[in-house]
Amino acid sequence: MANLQSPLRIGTNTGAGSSGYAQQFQIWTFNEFYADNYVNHYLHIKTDLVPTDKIVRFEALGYHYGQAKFIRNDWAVYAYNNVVYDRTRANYAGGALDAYAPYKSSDGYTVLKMFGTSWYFAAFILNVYTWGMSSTYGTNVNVLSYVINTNSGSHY
Amino acid sequence: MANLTDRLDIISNHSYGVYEYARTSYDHRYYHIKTSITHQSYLMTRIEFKGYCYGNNQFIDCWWTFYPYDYFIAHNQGYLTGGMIPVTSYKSSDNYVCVYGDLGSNTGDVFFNVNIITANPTSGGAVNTTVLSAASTASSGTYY
Repeated sequence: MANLQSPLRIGTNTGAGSSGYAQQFQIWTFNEFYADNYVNHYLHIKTDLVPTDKIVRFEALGYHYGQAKFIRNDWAVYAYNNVVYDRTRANYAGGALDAYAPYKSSDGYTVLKMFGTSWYFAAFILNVYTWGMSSTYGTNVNVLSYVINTNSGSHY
Repeated sequence: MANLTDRLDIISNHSYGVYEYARTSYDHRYYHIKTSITHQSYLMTRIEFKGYCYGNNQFIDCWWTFYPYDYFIAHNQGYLTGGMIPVTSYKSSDNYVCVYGDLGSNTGDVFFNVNIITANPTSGGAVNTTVLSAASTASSGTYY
């Protein structure tokens, strides 16, 4: 049996000047027990993605025991020219959490934001898909830190 | 941490990163892949495309399922988001199974990965599959 430690990164981006892996599974795991539910809180996830011409798709997959719902959300981020562009997001019917617009932290990193009406026993993994065309759009992505609070704006 | 430069095959019938595609031009394109799965292989299969289309600003999350039995059965196809709309699976002129989808009218800066799950209960096993060839076309209809 093969047990591969996360993150599991598969398939090199082959475009000239590209770097990183095409599919990056479980770059980070959110796995928290919040006994007080953290009602109507926002989760801010600070990544190491800097806005230097990168196109990245993020995907959160998991399960929310407190709400008895699945977790699935997507973000498409165009991090370009020192701006983090919120290209599009997906929240799926029946899912527990909502993907909010990503933003740039004060120190220049891409931050994802999620909203939950509660966070009691919620867990998900974060996957990334990047870009292998003839440009510099591909990159590996990691999570630097996170916080959960009632701040609907920019925490970082 | 595991960094795999090539595809990942799990229990011989679940493969990640079978193929990767990226393209920059902005126009209406259809995308075809020709798999190594032959007609009458009895290989029940699910093919998944996963990525993002910047031009249409939509995620790519679509799939095809089929059973190449005595005659070819294109069982099902579907999508979660509209970055690519599956058109059909079909048998090539040289007897391989192909799938194709519609990337839409403004496909610029598009990328996706191909993952494949197979099973073969009638012969007790499964085989790894590959993408023999791939092509994007300007018009609909079978290509291979």
